[in-house]
Amino acid sequence: MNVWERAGRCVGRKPVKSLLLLLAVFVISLFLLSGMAAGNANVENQDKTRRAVGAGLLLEANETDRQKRLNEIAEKIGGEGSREGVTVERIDTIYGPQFMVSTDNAFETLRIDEVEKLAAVPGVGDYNITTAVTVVNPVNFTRIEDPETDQSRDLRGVSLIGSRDMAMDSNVLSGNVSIKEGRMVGREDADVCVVSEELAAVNGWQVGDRMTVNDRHDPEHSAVREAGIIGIYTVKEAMTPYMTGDTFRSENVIFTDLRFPEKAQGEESPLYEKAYFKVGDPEAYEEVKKRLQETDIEWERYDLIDNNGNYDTMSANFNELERMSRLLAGVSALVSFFVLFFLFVFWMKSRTPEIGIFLAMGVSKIEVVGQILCEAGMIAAAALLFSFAAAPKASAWAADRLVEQQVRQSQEEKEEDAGKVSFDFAESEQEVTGVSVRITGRMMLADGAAVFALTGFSVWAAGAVILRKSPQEILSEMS
Amino acid sequence: MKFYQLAFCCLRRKKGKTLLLFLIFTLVGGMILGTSAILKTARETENSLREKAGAKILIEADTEEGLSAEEIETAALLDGVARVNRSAHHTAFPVDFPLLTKSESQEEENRRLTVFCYDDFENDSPFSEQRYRLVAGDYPAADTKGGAVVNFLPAQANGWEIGDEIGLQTEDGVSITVGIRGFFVSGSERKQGDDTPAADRLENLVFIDAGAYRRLFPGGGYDKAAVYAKDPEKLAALEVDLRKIFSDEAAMTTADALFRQMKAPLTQVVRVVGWMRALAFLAGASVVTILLCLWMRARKREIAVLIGIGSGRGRILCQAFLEAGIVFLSSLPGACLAGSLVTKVLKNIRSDVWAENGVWGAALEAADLLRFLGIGGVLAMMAVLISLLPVLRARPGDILSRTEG
Repeated sequence: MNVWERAGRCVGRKPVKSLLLLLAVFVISLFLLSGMAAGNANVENQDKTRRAVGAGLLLEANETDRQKRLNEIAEKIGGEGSREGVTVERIDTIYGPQFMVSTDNAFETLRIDEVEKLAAVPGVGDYNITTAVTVVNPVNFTRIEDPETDQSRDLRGVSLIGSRDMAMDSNVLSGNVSIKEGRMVGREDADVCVVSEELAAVNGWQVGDRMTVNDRHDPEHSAVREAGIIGIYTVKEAMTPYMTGDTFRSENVIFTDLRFPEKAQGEESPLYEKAYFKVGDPEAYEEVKKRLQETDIEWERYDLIDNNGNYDTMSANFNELERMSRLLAGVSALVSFFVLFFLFVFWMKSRTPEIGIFLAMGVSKIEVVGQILCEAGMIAAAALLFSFAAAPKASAWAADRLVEQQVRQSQEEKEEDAGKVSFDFAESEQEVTGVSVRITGRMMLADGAAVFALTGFSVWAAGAVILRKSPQEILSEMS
Repeated sequence: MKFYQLAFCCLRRKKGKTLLLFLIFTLVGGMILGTSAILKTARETENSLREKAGAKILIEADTEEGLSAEEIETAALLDGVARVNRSAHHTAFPVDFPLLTKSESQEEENRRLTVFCYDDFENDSPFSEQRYRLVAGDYPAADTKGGAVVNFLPAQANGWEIGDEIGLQTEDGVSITVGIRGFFVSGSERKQGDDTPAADRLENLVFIDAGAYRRLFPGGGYDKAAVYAKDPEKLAALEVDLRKIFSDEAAMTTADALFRQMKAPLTQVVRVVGWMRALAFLAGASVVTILLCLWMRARKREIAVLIGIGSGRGRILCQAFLEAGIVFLSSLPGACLAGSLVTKVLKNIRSDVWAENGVWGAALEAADLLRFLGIGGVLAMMAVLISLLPVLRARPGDILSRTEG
């Protein structure tokens, strides 16, 4: 009878003991796999939390450079004239001739090619461009005014803010502005707008209606521009006005697509005031910032401003959570290894008399160790197979339980709050975040390798202690 | 020999197996205590993140008098309040420096500037909304004794630098001096109309700390207060408490957008850790039970002999309970030591929590140990029962007639 046959018979002859050992290895293997999967799930959840907090960088014009360029161009003009977006006009006043300097959009704007170059930098998740606040004259609607305020100094207009992607406007990102009806302005939209609920109410607007405006400098004769209303927004608190006057009050702010404000103004080119670059992974914030700063653009024209306040405040806590997850996985793995080791040693020790008899019959020590190794290997292999089969189901069950808990808790909170406090904003539909507790092939490989390695090591270690003795010494020990 | 004497003898005679059982109890116990500590610390971190999520209730005054300082102070003392950010504004006169204006109006508002104050400039202010931004310097901190942020244009015109002082005066004659901490820009300065009076011009806005504001306008009210909640989940309850403090005329709005965005995944992180603790407990209990089953099965002949010579099954059960109990209790100090190794690592991760709560503090308390003792003891007894039952139910003759092994 060879080693394998003897091993098979030994395993089969003591079915209960073999089953118990199999169960133990099964439990430990499943626990190890769960520990690895839980660690991965937590890394994903932490990533989701980090992305929810968000971090980005803001690009704006540098005022000092603007002044320098203006002075240089005005000098080049030397008197009256226009050049490179700067116009110098001579005005005769009682104080003598005065030179009025004005600029057009082409001079003031952020350069779109440079913004797009920055947006293409690896690590930048997404970006938005926002126009300067553009005052236009309302044509087919009434704006919101404070009846007690003297409007003689007011521009008597409404404020347009153009965005490449309204969802990334600072007022939206801060959570102050949200959509009540319809949708936000997207990248592909043209000649559309989102108006405040107050403005919509005063004018009886609904999603689908049209709004018309024109240049406030020449309201009688300038071309009228039309934008379709695709959404109505609401605010948690009134947006801080850009300047004094009802023209800039929160209710009179209209969000449009990126190119509408210049059309409404009758301008030929846009005036981009800000660009926001969202960092894909907040953990890589500094690296992305460095890459942006190394991009070849005229950096003297711009200021790059950190906009990671929230993430900065919380990053220490995210690191803590990550380290705790790793500690948990580490503790589980370490303990599992040792327990498995001791379990096999315990199993070996209960077979001391049997080993003594084998040695007395002339079976070599290597054969004895080999047989026990085969037995342990068979049991470990069977246990691993069962644990690999059970692990995905166990993890799916765990994931479902975790989500179910979340949904139930959310429902309980709603029931608790119902009728107690009235929410004066439309409660956004809370998305249930599924938790992904995946068992990957790599984990199974690592688990299998660890279990087999430990099995081999523990059988060898325990066997070495027993096999040092002679058969007589072994048999003379009490069972 | 009494059953307890037998128990001690058995443990002493099978030193190897006793030691193995002891080590496994120690490791499993240490793992359960360690994962409990990790879960507690993870919950502390979750609470910290929740507080930092900035869930708040915005209170806006609907009357000319504004929100009174007393009302805000009362609100700040509520249990659920983490901090309050007050804001106010009023016009004042410059002391010894000119205002920037293009208007030729002789009215008083063309000779005034506007003063704003915030407890925290980085939140709930035009700076946080990106209306204005700092181009140099910093915001006055809450404990600054008279700091200001001014527009960069008058700073250039007047040759101001960071650290210079400017004077502000009210119509009642109250005057203060504030030190310039920073310069801001709006980007819309050149878009203002020529008729805009000085008090409304962006160049003539001055942002000062709340302390300086109180000195300049003693007895004045506040326009708004942002009350930040410690627990965003209890925002609704906090609003109810605030309603009792402020008049019905004060408008209140809840704002917790950031918390809502991160709530779900953050909760999942802690739940996964909790799930792991439960798994650790189950795995530990299963392994210990299986081990005890293996142990008892190895002692079948011994038990059969004892029953054969007249020892009662109850006595044998008590002996087995005692053996397991002795090993379990002996493993407790080791388990606590293993658990304390985990808590030492946690101390490095969250030193601020440890500073508040001491060595055992947030991670492990006596209650945790007692709970572990109680549940662990019951489980050990159940494990012994499960492992011994098949042996006790069988007839001694059947057991002894079977081949050794």
